[in-house]
Amino acid sequence: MKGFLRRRLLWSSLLLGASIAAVSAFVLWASTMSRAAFLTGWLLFGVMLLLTSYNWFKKIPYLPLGRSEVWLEFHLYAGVFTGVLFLLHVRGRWPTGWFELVLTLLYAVVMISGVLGIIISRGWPKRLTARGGEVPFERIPLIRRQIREQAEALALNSVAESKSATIAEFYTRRLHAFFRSPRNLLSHLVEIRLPLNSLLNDLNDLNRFLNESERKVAAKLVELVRQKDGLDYQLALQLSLRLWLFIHIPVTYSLMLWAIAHIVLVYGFSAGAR
Amino acid sequence: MKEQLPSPDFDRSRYERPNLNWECGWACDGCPCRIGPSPTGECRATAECRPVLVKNQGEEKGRWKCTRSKEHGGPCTDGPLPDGGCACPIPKCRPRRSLRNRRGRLCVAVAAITLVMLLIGFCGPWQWRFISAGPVSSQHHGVVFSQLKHAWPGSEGCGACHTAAQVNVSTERGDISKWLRAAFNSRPGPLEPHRLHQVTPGMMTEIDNNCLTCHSGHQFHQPNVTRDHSCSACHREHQGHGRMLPPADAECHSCHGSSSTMEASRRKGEQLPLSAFDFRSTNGATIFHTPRPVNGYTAVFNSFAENHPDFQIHQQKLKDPNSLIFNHALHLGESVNRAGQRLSCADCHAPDASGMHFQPITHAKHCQSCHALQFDARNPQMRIPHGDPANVRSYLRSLPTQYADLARRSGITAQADTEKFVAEQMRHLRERALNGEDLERQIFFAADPSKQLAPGMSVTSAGLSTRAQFAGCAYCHEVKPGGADGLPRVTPVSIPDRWLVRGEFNHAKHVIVSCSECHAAASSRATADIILPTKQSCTECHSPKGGVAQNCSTCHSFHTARGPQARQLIAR
Repeated sequence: MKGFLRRRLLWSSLLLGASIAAVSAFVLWASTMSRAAFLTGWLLFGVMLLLTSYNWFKKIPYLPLGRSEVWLEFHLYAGVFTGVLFLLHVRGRWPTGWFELVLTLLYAVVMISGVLGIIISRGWPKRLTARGGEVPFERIPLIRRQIREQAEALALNSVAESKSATIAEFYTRRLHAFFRSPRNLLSHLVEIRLPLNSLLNDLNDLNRFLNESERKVAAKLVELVRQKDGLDYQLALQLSLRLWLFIHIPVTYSLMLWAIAHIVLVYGFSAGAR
Repeated sequence: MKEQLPSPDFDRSRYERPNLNWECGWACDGCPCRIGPSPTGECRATAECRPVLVKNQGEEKGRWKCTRSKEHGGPCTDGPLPDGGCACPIPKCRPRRSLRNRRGRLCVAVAAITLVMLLIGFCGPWQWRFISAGPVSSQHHGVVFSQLKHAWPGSEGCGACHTAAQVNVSTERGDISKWLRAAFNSRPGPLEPHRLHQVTPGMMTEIDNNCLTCHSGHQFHQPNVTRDHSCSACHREHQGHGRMLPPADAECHSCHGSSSTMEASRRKGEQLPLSAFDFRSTNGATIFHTPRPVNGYTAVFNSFAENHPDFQIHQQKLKDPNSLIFNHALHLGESVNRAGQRLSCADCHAPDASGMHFQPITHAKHCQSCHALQFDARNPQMRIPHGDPANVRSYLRSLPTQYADLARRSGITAQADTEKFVAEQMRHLRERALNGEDLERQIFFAADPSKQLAPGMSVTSAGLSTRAQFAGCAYCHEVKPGGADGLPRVTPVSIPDRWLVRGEFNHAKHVIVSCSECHAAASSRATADIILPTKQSCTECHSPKGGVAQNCSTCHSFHTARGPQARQLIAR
């Protein structure tokens, strides 16, 4: 933990230093330099290129490019630094042209999704650990199937054992859909347990109509419902840990293409003017 | 603390590889097959096992044996089929792409969509609106500019400034290859970002040269500037509708804040004749000419409030050369009033139609009501004409006729009565003046109000004068003998319409400030006093402390209109 804090302090200091240096240089020289916007633009594009290449570095682990952990930290802090560079580049002005507006929006989407990604990457694992029931993402369907089979078996067996179809009917009406597929993913993301409590309340209400053996089955079903809910919780959070990249990475490529077109337009149409 | 859920029990020996492109279609059901899809995404599932033929010693045909693994339930009860096939076929699935693969495909799709959008944007009918950095200012968006746009067909006028936007005449569309060529032909080009720092600030560019095709006649500042300054460095386009934003101070300071540039300008100015600097077109206005300082206007400064030089009028203690004898303090004092009210500045200084400046001061408009030229105390209707001394002489020499005319206007119609009236008035005049020449001399040269010719200076019960005295022309004017035909020479009055010609001042914007806050008229007794405010008076408001703008462009204009187009440009 100490190492993490030390690294965070180091990277934060680097970010702060780079930001102060960039802003100071801009304030000092932007008024006297002819091509300040070009320079901030190239710097921004260069940093964005490095950030984009992070995804490729991970795919070529045989090259001695340093540890992925370091690259990730660089990615996070350099990403924040691009915010400073972007504001300097546009001089805090909201774009008025369509092309530049799209470019700005693309940058905003990449930036916001990146910040959300940091929040998710840092926060979700703690939530997953706190809730318990951790399981590899790829095994979730298998475990869900196992739980469903157990629940179905309990419901079916209860008919023969207790000579009553109360639990089986309840299973068909209320639990079958719950065990069949992932449920309440959004509620899990925002930590709302209302659906689970509602289901458990229904099971509790059912107890009045059950005999002794059925109550034992119902108690086991409650346990399975909790397990399935925990599994859905794992799925919701682990899926969001992966899905934010579905926005961040594709939009990054779009942003880079748009930025290249922007460079060509700027050079072609400014003819050297700033 | 909430209770943690236990981790579910599952087989940890097997795991799916998330970096594979395909996964079994049954995976979402929790029962993926062991084989999994092929790398190209085809289901390879056949049967739960591949039976093997076991031949015991002596057996010719042997027996097929089930090889289903223990983890999948072990050998099946049915056993292999007689032909050696498995009796438990696995139903075929439709393999799914893995998350990673789907993300990669999404990246490719988004990139492709981006490229298509860019191509449509660049080549489509809205290409100019698509690539435009924003609306142009009203200066480049008016009726005149719309007419000029026909000179650049298809480019919506972009080609007027941007050479890259000059379109292909046959297609009337912009050409991407032309844009690319323009980009890579620019200096420094896109592949030379390391040379950006070598670019001289304010250097003229291709766009600036295009500006000059329309804005011809705009000369660059003073004749002693060492190089032309980029138009587009100061005038930023595509900043939105409305008027173009004023140039930033930094552009002015790039030269005026640089000691080396100012020194170079000073040296160049020394080599130029003084007449080179006398380029300002008056456009009919009378301007106050200030002598050019020895070093020209090359003081180094970078802020109006801090080190901008004081106005030259105060710095060199210049005097108003006007020959009119005028005392501001007297006119604003208690001794002068009109209709019982003391005079105010606005009684004489009436703003012009724009409110920026003031109407010229004339005798007829501003002086005559008090300074009527009544030379005969008995007949205040008799007034000598203002202006040319020859007219005054003619008037005086025709006094009998003038008195006869006055008699008729007074109702005396009989010839005898008229002659009697004229003789009476002439006799009274002779009591004051020995002869006509003496009267003329008194009127031209007398400057002592105590020896008044007219009755105006009467003191009311309130002790205030109601009319000014007419002592003689010399009371207000510089009158010298030695003119043509023995007439005196009255030095022409010259009241400048503009005092600070290098800066612009809009009085209309300063109406919330009283005149006396800037102009010390109440204490000015001499005509030579130039009662313009000092720089300190301006910086009370126009400074960071005062909170009002102190930009260079608030007062100054960079361009100077010279040459044949000057008048047209000023009028524009």
